[in-house]
Amino acid sequence: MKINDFDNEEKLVKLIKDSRNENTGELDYFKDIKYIEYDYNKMVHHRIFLRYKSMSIVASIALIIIISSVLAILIANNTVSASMFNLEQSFIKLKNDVTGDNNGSLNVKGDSIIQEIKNIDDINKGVEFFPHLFTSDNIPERFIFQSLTITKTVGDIFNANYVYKDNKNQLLTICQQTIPGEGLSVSQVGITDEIKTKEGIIYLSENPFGDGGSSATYESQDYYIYVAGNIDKSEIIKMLDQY
Amino acid sequence: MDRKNKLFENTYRKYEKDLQKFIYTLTRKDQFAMEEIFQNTLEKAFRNLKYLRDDNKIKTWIFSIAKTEARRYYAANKVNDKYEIDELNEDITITVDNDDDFTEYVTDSILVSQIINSFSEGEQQIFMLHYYNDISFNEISEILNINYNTIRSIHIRGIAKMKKIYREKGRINENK
Repeated sequence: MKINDFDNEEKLVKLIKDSRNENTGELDYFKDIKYIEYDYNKMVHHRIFLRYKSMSIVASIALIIIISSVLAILIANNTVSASMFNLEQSFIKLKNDVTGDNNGSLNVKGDSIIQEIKNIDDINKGVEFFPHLFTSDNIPERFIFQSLTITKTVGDIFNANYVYKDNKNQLLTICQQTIPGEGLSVSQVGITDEIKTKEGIIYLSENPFGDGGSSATYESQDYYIYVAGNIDKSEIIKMLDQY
Repeated sequence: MDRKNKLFENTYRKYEKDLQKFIYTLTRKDQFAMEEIFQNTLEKAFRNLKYLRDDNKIKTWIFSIAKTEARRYYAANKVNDKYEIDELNEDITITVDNDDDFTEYVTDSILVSQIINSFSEGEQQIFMLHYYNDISFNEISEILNINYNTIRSIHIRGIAKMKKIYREKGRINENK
């Protein structure tokens, strides 16, 4: 007999199928199978929902394209910044609604647009949002990045706030503020040093309250940078000097 | 279309477990893959229901979609790269010789199930796909992305095992 002999193959097929048809119980092969309870009605309704959702996504995408085109035209024509800013806010709100990302890093709050960064690896997003963002490779190593919040208001006025903490929970804050056209009034307590750098002046207050905390204000042509925390003079200068 | 939806629902409810067992066999007991292929199969079948020409063939049609989805899954995931090596490394020495029809020894078809239960996973998979689900060896080879000769070797080895057991039972019966 050959295994692939037609008559015997036929008998074999019949044998095996008969074994299945008789009440022989489940084969061991299926002893671990977990049957899925698939919700048939959910599948039907999901398909109907998808049909409508895809229509609204198309409409939203069309609106995004229109708004971004209008923004591009306004930027090219240097039109009133308030209109541009309002459009930018609408764009961000719409984008967040379409993507469902209302807790994402870029949000509209009141008359501001806010970029929040929780991870130093995402600093590029901050730079994208605020091209002149202060960044430093010379933050003392004992301080760990906690957050960066960048706020933008009408007229491209930016305010960026870094928060760092060391292992004793001592804070280091760095604040960068755009100097608006009409100027900005800043006061600083107990200035101990004035240090001229390539781009500006560092006004340093070293331990003005005797608690080990120091602060410094750095004034360049377009921005104020204010640093405060448990940090010494040399560390401040190192951080700001490169800007 | 409502009529077809109703037909689909009735077919699905009647054969959902069979379909899952079929896919489970195709995926060689991979529960995760079975669930993914099963869902993809149902969604695709439902989406393409309007193209079904013969309502009487809906069950075959759904099962063939399952085969296509399994084929797609294997191609995308390359899960069977090690299949051939594992199966052919098994140390089995069985000779297939030309003697009497061993099936005449068979009086107990329950024993067939027990024999299949004693096969390796690969042998069980091939046997069930070929004998219980009427899939040709060629198609099994295509779906599982395994060399056709390997499929045939596994099948022949299974037959030889079956034959050995039946002959031993036959000798035992003769000696009684």
